Amino acid sequence: MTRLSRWQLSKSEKNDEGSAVVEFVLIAAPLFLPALLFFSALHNTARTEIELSNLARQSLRVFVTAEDLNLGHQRVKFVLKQFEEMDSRNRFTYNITCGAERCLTPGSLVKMELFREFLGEENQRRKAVAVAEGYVDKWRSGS
Amino acid sequence: MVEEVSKDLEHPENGSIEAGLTMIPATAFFLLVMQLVVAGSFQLIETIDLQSTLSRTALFGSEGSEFAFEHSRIVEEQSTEIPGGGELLMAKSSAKVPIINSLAPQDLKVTSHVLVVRE
Repeated sequence: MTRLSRWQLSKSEKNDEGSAVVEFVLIAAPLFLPALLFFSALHNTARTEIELSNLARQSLRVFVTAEDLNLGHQRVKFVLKQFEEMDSRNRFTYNITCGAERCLTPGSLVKMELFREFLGEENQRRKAVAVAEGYVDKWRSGS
Repeated sequence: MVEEVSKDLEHPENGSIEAGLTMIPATAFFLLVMQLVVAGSFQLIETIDLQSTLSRTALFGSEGSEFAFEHSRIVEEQSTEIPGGGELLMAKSSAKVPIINSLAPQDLKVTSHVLVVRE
């Protein structure tokens, strides 16, 4: 072992001394902050998905059990408005597609797409979508 | 000379006490992250369970709803008539979350709200 390598060893030993704050930041920043962001985003996405899919199912249900189209849309809007009052962050729009020419014909397939606008990262407006499909009751009195 | 070098490397694992002290804030922060995960999971469970219970109530008309976490859950139920017939059942609940970190608020609660159509 030469004199130079001994000097290098003693120098590296001195460099081991560090600040606790710097060490904490070096540990915490790359490990915990991404985990925090990830779990937060995961939780928000899962919650939005669950709430929106349930709301789409319920809205579809009130639509297919309505007497006519106008009343159907009125009922859907009523349900969405009630949910908006419960959680003021929500703003909904929807799209209804029917399998038959007349939407509320007994046995026809109705598809509802429900969109929820919310503020995402960096205040960008994002939309969550839920789709529900259902049939109009075959034994209902024709409308 | 070899002896001198081996003497230098005798305790290579020795660290400063400061480095050890970083474990304290790191652990506290880790537990805070875990607390958030637990709270988030509880909120999802709460929402799913409330949906399930309210759907059962709408379908089978069970008046006395059985809730999970009943000991720590507060539920506000209300209903309103839907235009054209039917009833809209709405429920808000707030449930306590288990505390795993003493730095977190001690009365941490999660809230969820659900609505279901009863024909």
